[in-house]
Amino acid sequence: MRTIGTIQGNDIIELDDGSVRFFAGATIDGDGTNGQFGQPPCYAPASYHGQTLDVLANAGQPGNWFGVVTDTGDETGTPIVQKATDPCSGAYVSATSLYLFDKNGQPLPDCCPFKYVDSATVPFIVVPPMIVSGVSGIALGCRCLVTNSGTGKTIEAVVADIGPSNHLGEISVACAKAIGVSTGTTHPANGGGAASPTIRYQLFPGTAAVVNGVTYPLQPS
Amino acid sequence: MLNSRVLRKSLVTFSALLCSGFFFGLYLLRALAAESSYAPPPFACEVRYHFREHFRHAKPGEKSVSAPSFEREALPTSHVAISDGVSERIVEGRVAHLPYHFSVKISRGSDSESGTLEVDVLDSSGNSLAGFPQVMPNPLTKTGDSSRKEFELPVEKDLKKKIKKMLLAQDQFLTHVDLIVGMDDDFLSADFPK
Repeated sequence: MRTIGTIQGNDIIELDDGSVRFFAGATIDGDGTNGQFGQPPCYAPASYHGQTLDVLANAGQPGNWFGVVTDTGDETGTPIVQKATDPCSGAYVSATSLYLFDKNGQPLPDCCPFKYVDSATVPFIVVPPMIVSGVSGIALGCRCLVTNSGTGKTIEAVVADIGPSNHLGEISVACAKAIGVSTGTTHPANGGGAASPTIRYQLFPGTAAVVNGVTYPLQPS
Repeated sequence: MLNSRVLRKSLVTFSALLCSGFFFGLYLLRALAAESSYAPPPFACEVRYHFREHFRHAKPGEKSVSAPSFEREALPTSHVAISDGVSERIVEGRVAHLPYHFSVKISRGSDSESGTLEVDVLDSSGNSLAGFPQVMPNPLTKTGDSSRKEFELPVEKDLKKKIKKMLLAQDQFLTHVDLIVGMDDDFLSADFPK
């Protein structure tokens, strides 16, 4: 057993079997939601009619789009807007660090809404870079168990995004709903979260996550 | 003669004390009754400084910014007041990194109504910020998806720079700031991740 590091007073422990465990609160990540399964998108232009999971300020503004996929692939580009044939016409495309493949196992283009993990319907967690680089196995795409000790609810989830280096404990909107963590009223990903460090995260690096019958790819970083 | 004057004076003082004690007791009872019957349930407020982090070492094709997160500062705890037969629960005060004064109030006249939520944010000159005050039927409940309500706060460029310098780590950048009003038990607990 070894301590990989400590963030916000919470130790990140790697056990002898290679699994990783920590306790933390939970902030909420709406990234990756592009209406893949009929839920509202994470981000859309101000002119978009309908709910979004997060406020547009978390995606950027003209000339500095850090939170959505752009035509040039960098922040100075123009955001990709989903077409009529895409799952959520008129919305932007929001990305996770974990990328998905097409049914033939081929990489999807960056502008494809299905390339990313849907926060609204897939229980996933976000880990800091310290975990991605510090564990023995591959963390992105691996299986994890998330338990809210306040409600006693546990859910199978996948590690699908990378968070800031000094914050620990972040989950998708679907994960929050499944374990009884409050979400925001206007924008579910913006106003929600769990206050106390009573969420238990157990990761199994190197073991591909299977969530709702879908096997996620392990993605080396 | 002197003794009877002293006695009278003492009696008057005693009666005055008794009367004020009686009325103070009545006031306390009324306040307690209001608190237990139709005082709005406790709520809390915090300011969230939302940010992301640039990943300098991201390889081409990898996501180069982090998922969003936030730093938070809590406003003082709520207190109950009674005004014209209406019971109000109020959060008032400031946070360290904004030059604003917050006043958040839920008021109601009976325990059968959800009441009214009133949010005002004042600048250092005492003027309401653009978009404030906001008054609405109280949307908050103790549980479920309606236990939180967000209010985006306008933040000027210079203030953004100051917040980044004071609160954020290297490679992190502020995206927006908002006030969250929450009523669920989790939000009311004081140990939100710092």
